[in-house]
Amino acid sequence: MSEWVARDSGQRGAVEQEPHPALRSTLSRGQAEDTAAVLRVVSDPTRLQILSLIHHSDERRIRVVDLTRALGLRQPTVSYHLKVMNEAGIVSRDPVGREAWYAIVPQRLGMIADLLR
Amino acid sequence: MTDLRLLAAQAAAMADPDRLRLLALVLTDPSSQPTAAYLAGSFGDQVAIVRHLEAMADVWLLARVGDPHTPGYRPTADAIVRFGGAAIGAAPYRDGPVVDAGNHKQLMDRVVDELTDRFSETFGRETVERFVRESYGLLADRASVQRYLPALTARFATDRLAALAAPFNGVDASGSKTISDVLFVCVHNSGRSQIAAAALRSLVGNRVRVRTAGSTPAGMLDPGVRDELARRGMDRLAEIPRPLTEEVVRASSMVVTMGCGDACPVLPGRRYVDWPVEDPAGRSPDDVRRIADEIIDRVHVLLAEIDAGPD
Repeated sequence: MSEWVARDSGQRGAVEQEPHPALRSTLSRGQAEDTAAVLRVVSDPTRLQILSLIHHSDERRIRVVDLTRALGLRQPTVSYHLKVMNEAGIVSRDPVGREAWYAIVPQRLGMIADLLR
Repeated sequence: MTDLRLLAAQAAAMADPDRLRLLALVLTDPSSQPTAAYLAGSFGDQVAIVRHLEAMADVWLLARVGDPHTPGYRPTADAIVRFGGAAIGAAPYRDGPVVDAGNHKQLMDRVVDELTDRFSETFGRETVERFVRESYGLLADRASVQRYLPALTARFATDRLAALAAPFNGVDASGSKTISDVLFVCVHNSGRSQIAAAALRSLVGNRVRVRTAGSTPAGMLDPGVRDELARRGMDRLAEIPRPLTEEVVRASSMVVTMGCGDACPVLPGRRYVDWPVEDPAGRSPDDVRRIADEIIDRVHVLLAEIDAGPD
């Protein structure tokens, strides 16, 4: 996660500068950057749909095969999106037998649930 | 997938630490609709702040209100619900909201009174009260917004009730295919797109989100067009000419272009329509009237298509 944030910050010139005095808020700089990094990763309709399917599933966790079926997408595409969200600390991966179950990381649940409201 | 696309555009717009902090300021502003000048304080440089605010307005997170030349920016329901917690600093997720109206009770009762008055033609007091309570519950989930809870609740409940009062203006995160927003684009955003937008707004109210932009926006509305819109009682439905950005297009499901040719960015998944309509700029009042008639006819046809739903 931290690696991802660092890479993301490097691409954005504005982030390096101190914010305008008017841009100070109760949110700390670190929190704001962390949140922005998550938003950047999920700012994609397919990823949002994956998160929505996980969030609204009965067990709050889902397998790749469920996602490919629901989305009509190929397995490599779904796996790629899950991999990116897993590396960004948004989605957890839990291998059970020969399958892996994906869920929303508890610390991100509030934010993701808000987005999907 | 209209709304997932809009949501993705909103998330992309807010994936910026400065914007998150700016949204926090807007959300917690006592006036509830601060201007860029106010947000910039006495430091003068408003350019960056205006740019951020406009980017958020492009994806429906802020609404411009008041004087179009120095607008106030009012957070939308989307901004409050989807990004309020992220911007203000959400408390860690808990199992459910713990609602204790406590000393907020008096304030909340007053909010219920006011909203009951305002929506008296559509909702009974019980409905309004339920919405205010529910909105309070949703927002109370975050310890960090306690101080602003009454003001945020009032705004949030108002937006939700207003959305309900209009037929399908709701947010559908499951991804509805219905066209719920239209972007009208012309060259200067001072004539054709303004007529089209004003006409559609007058027909649908809040039911369809209507926006305009110009590939090379003029400084103000064309005077002839302004007079013609005034004659039809639609001048208040026009806006200040705005530049066409990729962000605006990204947040739209349907784009109607009128003579801006290649300048309109073409993004996959949007429905594009081009209307070959003459430019009313500098034309005689009769010509402007004829052009307006033609545009308004086209808007009626467009609305019929939108209402008929997807193919």
